[in-house]
Amino acid sequence: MVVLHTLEEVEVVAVQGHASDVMPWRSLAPVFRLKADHDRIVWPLRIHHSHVRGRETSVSVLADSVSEGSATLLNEPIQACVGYRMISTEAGLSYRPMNDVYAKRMDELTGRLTKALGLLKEAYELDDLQDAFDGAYLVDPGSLVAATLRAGAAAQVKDDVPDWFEIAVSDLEEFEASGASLDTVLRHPLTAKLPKMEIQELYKKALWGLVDYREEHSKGWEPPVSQETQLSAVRFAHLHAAQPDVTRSLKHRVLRDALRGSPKAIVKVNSTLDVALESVELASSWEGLFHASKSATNLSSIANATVTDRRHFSNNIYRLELGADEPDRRSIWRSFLRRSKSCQNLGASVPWRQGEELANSLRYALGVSDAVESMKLLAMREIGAYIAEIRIPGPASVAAATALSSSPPCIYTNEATRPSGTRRLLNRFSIAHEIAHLVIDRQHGTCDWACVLTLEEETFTAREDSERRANAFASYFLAPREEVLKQIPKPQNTESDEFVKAVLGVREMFGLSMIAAGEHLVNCYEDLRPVAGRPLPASTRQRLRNAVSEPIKRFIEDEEIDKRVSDGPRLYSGHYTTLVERLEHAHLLDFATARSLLPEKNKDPT
Amino acid sequence: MGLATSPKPATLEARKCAKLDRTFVENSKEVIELLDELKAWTGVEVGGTAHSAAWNVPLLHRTMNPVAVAETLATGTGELEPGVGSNSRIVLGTGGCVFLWVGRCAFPGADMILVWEPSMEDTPVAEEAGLAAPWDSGGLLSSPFGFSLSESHAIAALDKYSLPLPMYRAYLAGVLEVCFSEQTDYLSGVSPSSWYPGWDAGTDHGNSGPPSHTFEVRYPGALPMNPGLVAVILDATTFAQEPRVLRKLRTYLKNAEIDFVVTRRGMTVEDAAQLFVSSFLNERGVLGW
Repeated sequence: MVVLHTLEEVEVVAVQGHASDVMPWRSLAPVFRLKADHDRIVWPLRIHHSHVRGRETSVSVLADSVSEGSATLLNEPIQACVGYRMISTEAGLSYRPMNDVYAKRMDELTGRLTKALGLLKEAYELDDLQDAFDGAYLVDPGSLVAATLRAGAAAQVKDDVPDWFEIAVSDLEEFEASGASLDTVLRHPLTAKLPKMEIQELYKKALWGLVDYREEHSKGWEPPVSQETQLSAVRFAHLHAAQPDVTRSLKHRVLRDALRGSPKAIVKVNSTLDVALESVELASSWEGLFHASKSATNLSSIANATVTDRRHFSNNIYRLELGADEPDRRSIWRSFLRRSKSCQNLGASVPWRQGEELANSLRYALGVSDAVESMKLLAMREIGAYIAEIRIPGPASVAAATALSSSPPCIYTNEATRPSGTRRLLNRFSIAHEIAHLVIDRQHGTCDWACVLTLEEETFTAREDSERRANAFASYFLAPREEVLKQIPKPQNTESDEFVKAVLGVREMFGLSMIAAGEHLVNCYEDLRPVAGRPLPASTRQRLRNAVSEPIKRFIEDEEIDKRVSDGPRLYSGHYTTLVERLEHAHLLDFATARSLLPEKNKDPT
Repeated sequence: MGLATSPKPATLEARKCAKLDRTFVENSKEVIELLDELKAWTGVEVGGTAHSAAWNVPLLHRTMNPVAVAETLATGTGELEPGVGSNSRIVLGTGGCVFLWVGRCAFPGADMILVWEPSMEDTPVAEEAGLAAPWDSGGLLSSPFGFSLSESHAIAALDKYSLPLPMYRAYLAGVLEVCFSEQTDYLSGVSPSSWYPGWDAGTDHGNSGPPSHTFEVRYPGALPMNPGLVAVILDATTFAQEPRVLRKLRTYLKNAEIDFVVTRRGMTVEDAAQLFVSSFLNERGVLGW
């Protein structure tokens, strides 16, 4: 069972894993115990500021974990604190402020990189050089600087240790694939502490290494592969979908590569399955699955399009669009990136102010002057985002976004967590919130966000900086402060009927949900809190909820948008189910295959 | 029908032999009896909708000693040795086994998870020596069902629900279909909604988490690591003091065409394993997992 507690309610009783290695720059995952009930243990999934969300188990699970060596008990329980982390030091386990741990990590990384760069000037042993750069990278595998320098060093000795080159450059490519921009390396604060000449040299080598790596790995893979190969892949994919048991004996990697259209894997698969293939009547159906010109990966792409893997989904949707001759969203996305570049330099230093600043500058960059009629249309037309309403795993996630380098962005709203009636207003906010991540947080190497936007239940306060900034952005993008102050008089106090009336006005004019409108109105007039928005008291929130009786007519509903765009780009909207149905209607999939690709619950019982 | 009615203390060897020496037909009969029990408790007939998921779900092993395991694995001929384990293993007589979980990592906290494809159960050694149970048996004596079983009752439960490999997957298919609100709840660690093997009538089974509803495979003796291995998932920072070991492992995995997955900031090894299993199933035509 997943539970949510405040840190005040819990204490740290153990850490997960072995704590014997002394690495004081590495945070260890804590294990919490409820102070009110010592039999209840919480294994954190995520710690949001002052709250912990985690799986709850009985204390016996902790006891078993300790006896198996997968958890280490503390000598004494420690009160959990906001912004603290467990680390292992020479003196044992220690609970330290997060900034201390980050500083230690930065110091360790700087030290190791300095040492590694120093080696390059000497007559080094290859093993030592690899150890030095790998060791630095492993201090923080999320550091783009460490990954780039390591790849540069590996490119330098590529001929001597080709395996290391492959590993180091493929790691760097993952950063790029997830949206990181390599040119930030030269401007990174960590880089400023390292010798400039060596950095620039390795940076260049890393870039060339990437080019070499991609060229090598795209040979024989990327379209156009031969038509025969594509058809063979489609045939196999169909067999696989129709008879999964037949393919069970195949090695996972071979199976996956065959589904992706790898010629080598297809040869392997065909030789393994010759008998099975002959026994299955495919000839009449597989050719009709897709036109021969379309990528053979499409069938498996559809089959794999689940929200448990948003990155996969994002790439697959893009491939399908290309296959269906849709307008290329990538050009819209690139244009948006160019237009929004100037918005990325934020003058404000606190998240809430940054959100407002970003909202104002982005409205200007996109030429938005009035209330936004439809966030969905704006995201599609101005940003090139694919908007999908899907079931996002996790009880509290209501919106998500992906922005990979390999495909234009996707924004997801969660169909499972929406109360009916408030849907389109919350979606407006969610989409705006995700746009903030696409503009700002993408710069920091992140490419996949799943966000908790429980505006109906919680306040704005318990958030990470990026989430606070995105919430502020959404509020001010939809309802700029200047416009609010112009249109809505300052209410006397939040308990008055006048306040409720004013909030209804904000809701009506700008399309915010009632609670978001109420909090935004207060913030617009009394925004003295730079870090986070101001929450309303629970009683006021309830009054606001009760005050809503009429849906807003002024803003376009999602259903209307779906109707509008159905005459244009087919794949730009709707659910995964709709996508499959449309492909079926367009005769790109036969009826039986379309049915087999739909989740059980969506199949027509007739 | 419940656990409390048939305590049958026996030695490990006697119990194991009794299970493994049965004929295919006898074991099939046992699966059918357990499926009948499922129907009796839940009132739902097993329709076969989870067949594909059950037969394709991979096996996982968690290790808290990643450096040593990586070194062994990179030799290409390494074996997983049975761990020390908890006291309950000694009492239940399962101490000499390597433990794998079916589909999900039942316990939180892992530095490295190894994933094998289901066909690794098709080897003669696995078929002749391995057994599976519908829970993490290590907790039988503590509180997998929200109460502690006596030694004899725990042994009886283990005996009743242990099935040979890979036949237990037929039973897993039934459990996935009728015990959970959604079949995918099993992978997500969501508790069963109605009844689960081992729950007795009228007993408060509490909420002790995934260990009480994750299938476990017990493999007696050392388990060869490499055959059928499809992925190694780990927290790379645990290798910060041993970069050479990790490099050796990655080179081996690359040549052996085994996936290598590292966690990124904010993601646990278990989360990464869950995503991998979903993707693994989807690629095998098991949609929506």
